[in-house]
Amino acid sequence: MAERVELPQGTLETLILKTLTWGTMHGFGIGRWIEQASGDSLTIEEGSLYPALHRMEKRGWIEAEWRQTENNRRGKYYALTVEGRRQLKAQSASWLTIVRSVGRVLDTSKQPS
Amino acid sequence: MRDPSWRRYLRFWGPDVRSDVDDELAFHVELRVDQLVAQGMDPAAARAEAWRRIGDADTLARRCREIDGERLTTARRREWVHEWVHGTWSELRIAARQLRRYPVLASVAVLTLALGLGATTAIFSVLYAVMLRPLPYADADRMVRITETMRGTETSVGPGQFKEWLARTTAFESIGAYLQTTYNLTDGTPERVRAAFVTSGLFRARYVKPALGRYFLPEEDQVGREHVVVLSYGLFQQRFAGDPRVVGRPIRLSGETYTVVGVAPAEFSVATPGDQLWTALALTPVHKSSFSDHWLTVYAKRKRGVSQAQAQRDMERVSREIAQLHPDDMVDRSARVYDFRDDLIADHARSLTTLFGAVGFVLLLACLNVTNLLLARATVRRKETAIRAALGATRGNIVRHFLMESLVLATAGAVLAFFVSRLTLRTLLGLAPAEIPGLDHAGQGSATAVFLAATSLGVAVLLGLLPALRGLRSVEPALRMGGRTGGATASRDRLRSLLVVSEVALALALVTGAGLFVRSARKLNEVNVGFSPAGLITARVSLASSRYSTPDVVQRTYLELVDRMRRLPHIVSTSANSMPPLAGGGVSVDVKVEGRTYAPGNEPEAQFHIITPGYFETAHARLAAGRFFSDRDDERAPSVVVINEALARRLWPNESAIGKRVACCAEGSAPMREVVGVVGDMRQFLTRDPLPELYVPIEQTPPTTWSWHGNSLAFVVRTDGNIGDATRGIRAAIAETDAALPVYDALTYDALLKVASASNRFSTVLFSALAGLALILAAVGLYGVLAFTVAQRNFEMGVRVALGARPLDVLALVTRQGMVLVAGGLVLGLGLAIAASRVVASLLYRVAPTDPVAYLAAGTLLIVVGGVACYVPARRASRADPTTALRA
Repeated sequence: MAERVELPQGTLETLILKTLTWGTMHGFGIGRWIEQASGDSLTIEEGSLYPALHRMEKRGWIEAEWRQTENNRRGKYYALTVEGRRQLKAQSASWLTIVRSVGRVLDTSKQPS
Repeated sequence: MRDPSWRRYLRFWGPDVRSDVDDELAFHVELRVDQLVAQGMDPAAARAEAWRRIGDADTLARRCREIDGERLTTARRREWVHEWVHGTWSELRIAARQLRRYPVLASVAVLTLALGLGATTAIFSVLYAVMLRPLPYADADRMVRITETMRGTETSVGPGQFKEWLARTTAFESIGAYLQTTYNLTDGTPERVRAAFVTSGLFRARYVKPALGRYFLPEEDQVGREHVVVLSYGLFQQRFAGDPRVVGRPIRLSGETYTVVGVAPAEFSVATPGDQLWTALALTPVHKSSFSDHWLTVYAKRKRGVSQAQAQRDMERVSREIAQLHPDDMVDRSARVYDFRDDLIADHARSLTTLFGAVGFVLLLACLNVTNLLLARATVRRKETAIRAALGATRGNIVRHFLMESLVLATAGAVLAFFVSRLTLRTLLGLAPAEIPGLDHAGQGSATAVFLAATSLGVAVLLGLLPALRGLRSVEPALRMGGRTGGATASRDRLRSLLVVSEVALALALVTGAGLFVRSARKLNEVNVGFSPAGLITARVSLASSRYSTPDVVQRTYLELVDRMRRLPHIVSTSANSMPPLAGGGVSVDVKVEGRTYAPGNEPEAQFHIITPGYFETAHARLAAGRFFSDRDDERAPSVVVINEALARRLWPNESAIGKRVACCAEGSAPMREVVGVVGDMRQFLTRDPLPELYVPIEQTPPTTWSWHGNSLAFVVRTDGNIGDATRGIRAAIAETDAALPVYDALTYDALLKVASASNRFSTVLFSALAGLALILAAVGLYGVLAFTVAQRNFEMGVRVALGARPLDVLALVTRQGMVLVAGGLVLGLGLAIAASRVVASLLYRVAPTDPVAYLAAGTLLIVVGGVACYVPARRASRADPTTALRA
């Protein structure tokens, strides 16, 4: 198993948005998908996942719907809204900028003049 | 209407947030258990592991529920607003459409509202311009006028007192003195200009940035520096064509040279009617030590943070200090501070607020009328309302429906009212007495529009509320009652009757008010002014230039002029008087009586007149005792005076005045003058009792008295009625004598009387117009209710006729019903009128606010109008055809 890391504040929401671009998904599925996509280096705690989902629903980034599953269970499925898509675009852009900038600084071998 | 997408979820899991979150977590656990079992774990252990991973499930669920709760609240609020806006808009459209189906009702309602709102708005715009409009001056709220008082009555200010005020007061940041005067402005066509002497402090106490140049400097308050002038904007435009190069240039005023230092902006004025220019007032050392002559008007500005009351106390303290230095001159004297604005509008505030109150009555009447119409319609539409309710309209929906209808009516009324108010305002301004300050601003600015909008909205709510509440109450019984009876419920009838009673009451109050004003106007017309105004004209000249340096020359010139005019065509007789009647009074002098001393402060005073022999005869004055002056009363003859009856009553209440001896005119103990005649009182002001007067023949007047009048006299000329030719002749005669002499204050006494009664006429005409409007509205209201009742009771009438009632019986029945309402209205209105008449009491001339004639006339008028309004529907009812009525 790879090394486990903590997610910086706010990143989880970006990841959820990204996950939902693949289609409607329930909370469990979203958590699993993120873990797998990160090569199991991320663990998504239920204690952060569900509040995040509800918060995002309140902000109108995602919307929820109850559906029957194939096993005849009732599950709550989340889908991306137009506003959610907009958010994802903005957040991933700024996230990539941060990552690149931090990386560049860490990789620098020059001494500050 | 399409549901917005989020509403689906609301309806789906609605308010049950709790089980929602629990279900979601349970679902999560199930999926986790599946996953763990698939990895080979024992199901029981897998379930325990799944819950362990969640950790504190309760806290987690609570956090989620909180978030959902917030989301639901916002969503509901948004839904409500959306629903409300959308629903209101569609209701508005429905209301407009429905009203179009009742064009008569809608137009009557809109027209009624337009009249009410329009009249109210017009009067508000006048009220606003005069009383509420922000003044153009800096710190206008701190501007004051300060007067001296003598036993509580205000007097002008002595220059000595003014000097002490400047030195001793602490409450004011600037104090300025003001004294009206006139100049002959030469350089080109000679022109008489209204002007004033002012000290430099005046422009600081009443500050607006000068349009050009500057105002006076403190050093220009000194003798030798005072030949500077500030032009009014009007004179600057009219006489100097708005040429800015006039600043710094010299101009000639009554033969002396003054330098223009600045131009005041258009909105600046000290007194109305406005001064045309201002010259610096330099008080001489003699002036500054004079505490017994009072001829200045003083304006000041309170320091920031000093209240009106503090300023008043400061002035009282200073007055006590002056009294210690000059006890003889300060007997019973103190000072008073008036707020500038209150002071400015004092004469008009009451009449304007009264008018505003009256027009408010009319608006209320209009609202009652329209409410009545809407109530009638609400009755007819009871079933419609009931069906709406049955189909799920909430109480809120129903109220909104009625409100929307009244909103449509009020809006249409307001649009029309805008034009009505413009028209009314134009008429108002034509009628209004010219001396009301700020009147020219009426109708400008946004305040009037805001007022109209706000009032219309208020009216809309007022109109809609009653029918709406009624509509709510009738929701249930209407459906149960079925079709037939159609009769209004008793309570509704009572409500509508009550409205009509109120309308009659309001109308009676207004008509009574108008009656009082009409009576007052008639009393004013009957006032005995003491002379005969028909064909009498007056025109004034002032022999102010250096050509007329000695009183002798002045006197001779006037006598020559009078003589020259006497020979002109269309002129019956001529004379001159320093202060002709109805000109508002002039110079007041202390009168000393031979052998009598009066306590200080209690000396008799009289208006002082210089007249030419023949003045009384020309004016057609009444000789009460003795004789009038003749040509023989010249400088060589014994000194004589004629006094009026008011002065005779004051000095010798119980004996004849003829032969008594008096002194006046600050002559000290110098020649006593014999009273040779008593003349009937002539009025200085149309609406005030005559003041005591003392007349001196022109050839015997002391030289100093000429300066009191600025060497001016007014010619008083009796014409044969051809006023135009006579006036041209007079002007020509004056020009022949001195081409540089301007003629001013040229008036006919007919016109003067009109001006003097303008304020009263203004109130009378307006009140009568409002009363007429009220009468029509009340009649329409009464007619409406009766006509409606008759229509509703058509069936009943048919039965009555079928059972043998004669048409006359039916006529009486309906008429009685109407006249009971009128009677109720009269009783209520009488109380209202008596209460309201107290407010107008001070505006009336010689008419008691409870004048029985006005009340009787108003009552009779209302009974007659009410009778007609009842008769028309009653007649229709009496013609009811039993067969038609019963089959209907």
